[in-house]
Amino acid sequence: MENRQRIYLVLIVLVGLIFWVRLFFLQGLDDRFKLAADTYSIRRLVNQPLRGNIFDRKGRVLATNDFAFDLMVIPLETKEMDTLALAALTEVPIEEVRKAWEKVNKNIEKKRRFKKQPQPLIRDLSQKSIAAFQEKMYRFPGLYVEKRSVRRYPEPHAAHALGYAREADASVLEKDAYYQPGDYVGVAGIERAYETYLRGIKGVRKVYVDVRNNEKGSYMDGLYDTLPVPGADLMSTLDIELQKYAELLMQGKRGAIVAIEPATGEILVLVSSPSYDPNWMVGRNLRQHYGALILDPAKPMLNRAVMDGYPPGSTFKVMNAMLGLQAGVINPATVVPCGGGFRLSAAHTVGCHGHPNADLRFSITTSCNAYYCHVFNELTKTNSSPRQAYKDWYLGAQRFGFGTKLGTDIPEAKSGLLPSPEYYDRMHGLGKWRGLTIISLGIGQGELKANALHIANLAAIIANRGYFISPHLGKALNGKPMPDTLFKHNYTRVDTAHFQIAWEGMYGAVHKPGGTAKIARLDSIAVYGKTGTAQNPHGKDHSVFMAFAPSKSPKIAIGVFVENGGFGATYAAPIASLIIEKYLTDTITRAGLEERLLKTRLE
Amino acid sequence: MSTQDRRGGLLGQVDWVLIGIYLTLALIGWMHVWSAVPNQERVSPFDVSSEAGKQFAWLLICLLVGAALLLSDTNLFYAFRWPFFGIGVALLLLVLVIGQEVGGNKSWIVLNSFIKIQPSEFAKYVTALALAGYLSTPLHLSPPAGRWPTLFWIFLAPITLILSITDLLLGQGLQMKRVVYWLKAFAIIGIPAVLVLAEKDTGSTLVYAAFVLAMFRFGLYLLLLYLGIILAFLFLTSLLIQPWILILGLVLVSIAIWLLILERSRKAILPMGFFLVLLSGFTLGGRWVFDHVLMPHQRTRIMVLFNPDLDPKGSGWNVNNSKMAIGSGSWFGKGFLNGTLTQLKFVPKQHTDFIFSAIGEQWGLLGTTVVILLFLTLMMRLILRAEMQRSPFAKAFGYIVACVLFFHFFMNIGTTIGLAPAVGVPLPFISYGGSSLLGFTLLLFTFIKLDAHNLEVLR
Ligand SMILES: [Zn+2]
Repeated sequence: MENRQRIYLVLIVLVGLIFWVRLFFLQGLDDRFKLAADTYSIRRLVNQPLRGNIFDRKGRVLATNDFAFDLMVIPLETKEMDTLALAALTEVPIEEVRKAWEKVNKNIEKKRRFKKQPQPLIRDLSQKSIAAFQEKMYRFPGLYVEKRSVRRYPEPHAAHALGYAREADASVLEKDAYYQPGDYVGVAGIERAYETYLRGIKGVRKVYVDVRNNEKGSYMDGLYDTLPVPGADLMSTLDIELQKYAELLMQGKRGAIVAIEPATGEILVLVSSPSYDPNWMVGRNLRQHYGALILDPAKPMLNRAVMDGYPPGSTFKVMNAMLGLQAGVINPATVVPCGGGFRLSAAHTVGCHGHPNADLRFSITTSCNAYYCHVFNELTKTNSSPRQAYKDWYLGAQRFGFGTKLGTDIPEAKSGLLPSPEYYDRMHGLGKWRGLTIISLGIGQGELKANALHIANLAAIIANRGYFISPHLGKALNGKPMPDTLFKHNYTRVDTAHFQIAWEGMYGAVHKPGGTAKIARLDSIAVYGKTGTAQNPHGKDHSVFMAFAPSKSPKIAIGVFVENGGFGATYAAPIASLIIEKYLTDTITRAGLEERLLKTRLE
Repeated sequence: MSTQDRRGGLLGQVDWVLIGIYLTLALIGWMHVWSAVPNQERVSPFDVSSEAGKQFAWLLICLLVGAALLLSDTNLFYAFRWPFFGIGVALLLLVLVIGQEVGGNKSWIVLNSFIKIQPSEFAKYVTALALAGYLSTPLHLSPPAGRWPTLFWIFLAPITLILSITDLLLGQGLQMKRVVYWLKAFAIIGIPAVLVLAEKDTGSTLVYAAFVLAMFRFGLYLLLLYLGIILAFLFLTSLLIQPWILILGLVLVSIAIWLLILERSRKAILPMGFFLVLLSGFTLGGRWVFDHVLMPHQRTRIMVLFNPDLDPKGSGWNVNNSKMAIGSGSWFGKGFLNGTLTQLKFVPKQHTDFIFSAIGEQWGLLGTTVVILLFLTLMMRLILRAEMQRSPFAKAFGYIVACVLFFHFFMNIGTTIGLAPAVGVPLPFISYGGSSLLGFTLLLFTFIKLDAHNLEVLR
């Protein structure tokens, strides 16, 4: 047993010997690592991928990249920063250089990992400054120049739909480890919704750098390098020509327009007015414009097309007609005597304008308030309890998209407001409210809130006779259509046949005597429309209009809000009509109407 | 140095060579933890907000602990080995409940931002005490096998099987007493090992293999050691060539041995056939486990040994950078505090698992040779002193300390030069980390204490 001691001694010496021989080769004989001995460090450079371009539905460029030169810094490798010399060399104001260097140091205090990371010191240097700096670069260890792409939007339009990409700020850096100081990130609209596709994949390059800050070739022959993968090109559903025209018509007015292709849910136009030039959100422009945009009382940064919105007004009546037919509380022949309104009680009447007694079709054409108070009243008392009956109506209206975000890809989309039964429980007390309490929902007023996207979508539902595809802005990625699963079919559960009467009523509103939207009429094309007025407790009412056209497989469904525009027929209807005409015929026959609208200033 | 030379009181009896090597290694460790920081960030090595300062503080604590051990009662270790073992296991259980994850494994108890401890280091020490105590009663003096709970057998079923077969093969018929004796030893190791494995700390779990290595000195079947070495060789080869070619080779070698060495002995056919089946089964099984059981990152850790470029951005990256840092040190190094690569942390875990690369870069082959020689001297002296112990407990403990140090030495330096898979174990006395320094201090100074009383032990 004693000789087993030897096994241990042999094992120890053997391993020691093997290690020593290995080290002798590694340190003594092998030359592969000697290069590293002469160098100061290895620098890990990020190869930024080009951000994907954005096109409109016809392939016109909406967003692309330009180049700019940035002065980068690796704080760990800088000793004393001679800000004065740097400012003189690059012809950048000394104040700006000092502030930039302070900012870098502040970043480091927050997160120590930034100390080793390259980050921009001064952005967007001129070619001349770059050349001057590069000559004296050895005096600034840790500084170097990086070519970078910046976002450019060739058409100064569709700002709210496109959104914008800008430098990742502290909150983004905090949340997502993917981003490093200086990276671009989409913060609104398409740029945000499709960020993960547009941004591409960063490449990494490792290079030897000597004490004089010169690159000494790539590390290990580029074994560890990866190439950047450019971001995907995105084709959007927008029609930029139509968008421009719509923005032109909205000049001087506040409001929103959304136009959808009913069969696909593709958004052709998304206008929020007032708007801004998306290029203002990029680079040096941002500093100039951002403050003013934020402070502007007209709130140009707000995306009105998808905000919570206003009451949908009489456009809502068409939906109530459909829900009434489906529930069987009315039929096309049902006539409701109007006589100037719907009597709630001895003291209260929901008023109406003078018109002949209406059947269902004519009630849509002439927008009879009494008719829809009747329908809503009937709907909310069919069931045993008014609350349960209201809940059925509520779920039905939700299937028409109200109170939802419609499954859209627009990141800023809000759901508006479709009050739930619980909402009224809180407002009036459980069991203390019934259909008559909230009768204004029948005619699209009251607590309801909807935006242009909701209204355009309602028009699309009617055009499709009972369903909609979630309205969206993304059409194709790198030439491949978006997966169908992304934007789903949503069914209203109202029979297709019922929509015939909505078509006829809306046709009548534009083309028949007694119609409320005859201003929207086109000679060559059948337009189906419905006006509305959104009650505005703070000022003049908002003008609302929805429409679709033509009669054979409708190509466009549109929703328009004009703030403080009064009746729907005044501004919203003619604007929608002009856009429809422009889209379907590419000509404008009513120059007078167009001119009147262009001149109108409602601000 | 013979035992007669060491006279006088406690100070005269203490092995100053071991203490000298200990201090040298610990100071080397402290200075290189200090060196492996970018020059601009380096503060005083005594500044406790830095890693070097903390390491210095721990070193002072460890010296106090070492002194306390030397001044303590020498019988304490044997007498309290089971209570200590109980506390160690309890701490391991505690860490499973309240432990926090640091660097991928949940093996830390975090007291505050300055102090976090790793109970697995303490568990290593108490397991060494318990196992040494157990081994100090040799097989022929141990009580008869007796009855043991079924759970015990199920828990150790695979080991029981291996031990029984080995015992049978040794030719004197199956002796259950012998099997059970070793089985109990494995149980002592197995309990903490399983708990540490549950903390997902692969490195610390594998350390328990070092205890098995020590057991061979006390009569564990050497066949298992040789078999282990052959199996490790077969496993690594089976990853490089097709398993069936390997098995074919095994068959041919067996036939050759039978024809030439065993002279066609009929009695040898059965055991040889058995081994052939066992080894073939292991070759196929090992490959299957490698392909289907191991996680992808564990697989690359092993494959990177053969081809560092296989995973250039993952484990190959660490090892390659470590090799580059060591290689760039050349014959005499770049000089102290001039280790540019290790300063910029191209090697991850520069302070802990890859501290050897900082030494290699700054001192070159000269420095690495010195460190290796220091470790060889330490381990060989431990083995020599252990062999001289009159107390069987001290002897067993000495072997265990030597084996634990050997395992860490092999796995840690082996990793940094690409000869062992990167499982993540610290280099004794040198790597940054208070718990690990304390653990090794406890092990070494306990042996020094036991050794100092060697002459008092009556034969
Ligand atoms: Zn009426």
